[in-house]
Amino acid sequence: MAERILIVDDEIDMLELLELIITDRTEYEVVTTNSPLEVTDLLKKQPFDLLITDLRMPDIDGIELIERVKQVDDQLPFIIITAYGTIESAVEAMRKGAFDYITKPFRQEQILLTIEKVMKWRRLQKENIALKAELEKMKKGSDA
Amino acid sequence: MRSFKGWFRKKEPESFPDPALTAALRQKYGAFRRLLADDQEVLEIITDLEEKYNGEYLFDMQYLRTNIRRLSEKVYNLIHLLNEISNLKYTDLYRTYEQIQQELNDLLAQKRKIPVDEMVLPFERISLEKEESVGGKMANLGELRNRLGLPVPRGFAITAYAYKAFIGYHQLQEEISRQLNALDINRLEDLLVVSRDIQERILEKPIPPFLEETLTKSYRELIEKTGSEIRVSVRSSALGEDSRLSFAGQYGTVLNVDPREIGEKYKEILASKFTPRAIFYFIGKGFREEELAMGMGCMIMIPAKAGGVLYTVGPENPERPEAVIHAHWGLGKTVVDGSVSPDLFRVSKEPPFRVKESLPAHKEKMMIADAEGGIKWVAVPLARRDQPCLSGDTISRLGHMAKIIEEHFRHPQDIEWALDEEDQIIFLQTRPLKIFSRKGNPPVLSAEELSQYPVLLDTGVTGAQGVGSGPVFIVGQERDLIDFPSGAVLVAKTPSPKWVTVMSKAKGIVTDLGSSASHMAALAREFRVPTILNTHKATQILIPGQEVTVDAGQCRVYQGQVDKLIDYFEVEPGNPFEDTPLFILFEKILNRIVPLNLVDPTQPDFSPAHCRTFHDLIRFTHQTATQEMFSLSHSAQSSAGEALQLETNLPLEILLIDLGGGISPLSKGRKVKGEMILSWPLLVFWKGVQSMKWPGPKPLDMKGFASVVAHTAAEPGGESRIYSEKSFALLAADYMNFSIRLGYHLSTIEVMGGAEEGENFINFIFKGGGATIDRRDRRARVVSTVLERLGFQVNQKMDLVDARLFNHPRAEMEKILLALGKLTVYTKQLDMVMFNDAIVDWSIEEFIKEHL
Repeated sequence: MAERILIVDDEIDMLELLELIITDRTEYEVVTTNSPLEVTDLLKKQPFDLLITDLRMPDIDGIELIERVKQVDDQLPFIIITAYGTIESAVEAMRKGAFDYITKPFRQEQILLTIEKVMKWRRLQKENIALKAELEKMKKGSDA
Repeated sequence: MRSFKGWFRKKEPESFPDPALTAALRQKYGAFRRLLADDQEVLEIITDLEEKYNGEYLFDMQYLRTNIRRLSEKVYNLIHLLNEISNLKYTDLYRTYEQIQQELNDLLAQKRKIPVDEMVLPFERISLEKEESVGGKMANLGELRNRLGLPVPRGFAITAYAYKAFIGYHQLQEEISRQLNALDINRLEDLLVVSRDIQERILEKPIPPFLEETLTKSYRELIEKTGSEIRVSVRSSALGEDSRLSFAGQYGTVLNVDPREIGEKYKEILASKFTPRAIFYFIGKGFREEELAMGMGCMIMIPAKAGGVLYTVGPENPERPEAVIHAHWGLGKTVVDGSVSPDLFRVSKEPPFRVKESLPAHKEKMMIADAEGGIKWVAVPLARRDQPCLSGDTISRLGHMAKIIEEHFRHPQDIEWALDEEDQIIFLQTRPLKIFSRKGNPPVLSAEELSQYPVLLDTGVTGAQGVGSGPVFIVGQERDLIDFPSGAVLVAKTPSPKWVTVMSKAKGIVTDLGSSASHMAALAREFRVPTILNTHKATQILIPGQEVTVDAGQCRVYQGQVDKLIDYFEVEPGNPFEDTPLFILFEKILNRIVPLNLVDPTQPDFSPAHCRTFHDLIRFTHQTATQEMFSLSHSAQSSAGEALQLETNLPLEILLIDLGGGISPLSKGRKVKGEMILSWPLLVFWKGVQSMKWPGPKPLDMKGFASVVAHTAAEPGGESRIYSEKSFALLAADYMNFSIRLGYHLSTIEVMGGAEEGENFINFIFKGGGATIDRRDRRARVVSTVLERLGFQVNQKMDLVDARLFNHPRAEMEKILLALGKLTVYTKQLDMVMFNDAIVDWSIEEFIKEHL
């Protein structure tokens, strides 16, 4: 199954450009929403491998959104998109565990490379979890 | 005002400047310095915007708003500072500024207002500026008639405001929006239902009385002007249509209509906007319905002897200077909708517009206007069936017009025309031609590969370039489209624009009939579906379900999936965002900012009244402010400032202002000899300029010549006139601010070179023009690389080079400044030869080897 990316931005234009470039240049499946309030519901309904979110949005801001997302899936990697001049909040986002942040406007290659990095990491993370589970199972087996 | 001569003669060399005048001059000089700084900054913002527009970057509305606001503030400052320098001589500029500012605000607020206008406008009063009112098709036609003086039929446009009045009068908007918003366009069945319902609602409503009255009046006037009983054609001209997306054939055209029926036909065409394929088209492309108010054109029917389509470049070989004509006897409609196989002609776009190729088709039937109204098919007389329907002379004339129209719109065009009984060419519409070109040669299959992938079809004409592969799906009826599988190759007898509903799913299209001038081909190019037309036998040879590869460029269909070809064509398709609403909006915004109409300061139209964009305002304020500094010293009639001219053999006029200690007090008269210059930065820089051989024309390739000519064509007088443009240097003993214009390049060199190393700097800004973007870019790269070698911090954005160097001792600065003088001359004609990247490297090496 193709890996899935969820993108949140209150600006529909940005969503459209991101979706266009990602679906055009990669194999990933993309879901977009311009309503951050909808994100936790979407995450509960279907699994995602990456969340890309804007930092400044009208309903709830990116930092608040991260908090909420962590309650649903604390393993989900996320990339923060910031407007030029909001580096301080980007730093805060990194503290909260963002994989990376990217400043608007950015080159196509920049976002694609960042996504590639996350996805590599994500695959390792999944493999790691699977191996650990295997190990647990073996341990339990030998204990028994 | 006293002449220069007068006050120089009177002046005592040792006279002390009047303190009040000096203070006034210094204050104005301060304003001037701020203006120069702001001028650099606006150029940087504009370059940044242009860079974002090329599709490499992702950005959002916030970026646009922020930068447009910054730009607006700076442009306002420029106007304000110019008025400060000139004692409020140019307050008119505020009005132009406000107007552009308002338009930009409206665009940024994404308010798509339907402009309040008259309901009907005669063609005489239409040009591109009326696009929002009459739609793209009519605006372009008005442009042909009124700006280029080309023949178009008499007629009038019904404006978008009339549409708004109609919809508003019957309160239709809400119902339409509700239905469209609830629609899932991937369900073709629902599309049919909604479409039928909306159309019926429109057709059952009467034309409101006020509109009826205006229409009646307008066609009576048309009859009076024409002087006889006439019939008209009614053509849709929706807003947004024909501007960027071709919407080919999506909205209706009705030919040969009795003028009394215009109202009815008007409604029919309004309703035609809501056919399933049109709904699919504009929802799929991300437009909102209320954005697509409709304009319309009514024009007298041309009893065409022949008609057809003129492409100003061949879709197969867009780089060749050739136009392509598809023509058929009778009405050109048959060529446009692909219902006949037309004659094909290729004609040079260069004088004497020679016919390069003539491929007459066998023409059995043609469509003509019926005396009873409407149109009908009739048999082509036997003698004319295989005869070309255009004479060599007509073809040459079309080639000439292709050149004129393409240059005017600055983009290849897709033009519909008719030939009347007197052999006069009459234009019916023009719109941007969708093409995409590819670099390098396509791969050639080896004999072994050919045995693996047999060629099934090797005939036809290219409708849209590209290679695609998938299973064959034969379409006979419209309802077959409902079952069209994603990734299939559409095969059919005749082309139809109705297929737009499956174009996002199709990997290729192959038809038995039709030409690349058909609407369907235009749509295929827009959706980038590789398409071959007129194969005569595709439906007989290709078998449903059979896996094939369509190579549209070669007009070949292979059995199987030929990866070698598919991979080659899967390269970067250019700007992927081109058709998104954000970029369409961006383009409109840039149109209010970037185009430069004020090109030649010696012409009378270099005036506030002719400023139409921010760029015009920027250019005007910069040029005028610099001149004002001189007129200031002219009128001062004292030694407060001196406008002098540097004596030189070069074809340049360089004016000097001495801000203190820059020119020897012993200098007499208006001309300053080189040895009278005391400002060391100018002395050294000028030495560099003079040490170079003044560049004569280098050998240049044809493309280079064409690209430079294309960009100078708008500037009457060409390069020789540009030389008459003045360069200015503001001088002090250890300061120089020199704006030097050479041809189309503007270099500004600002030097502070005193005893304090820490205060010293050189700013070098280079902005080019006069060639295509890629050539300008290459030239800027030469400049950047050399500057880096000289130790500058260089920032190159497209063709703007901004280089800075700080804290150097004077001895070092002298060497650098000497090199800058040489470099400035060296770059003068670089773009004439910048036809490939290898030249860039060669030029850098040559300059470094010989001059550093």
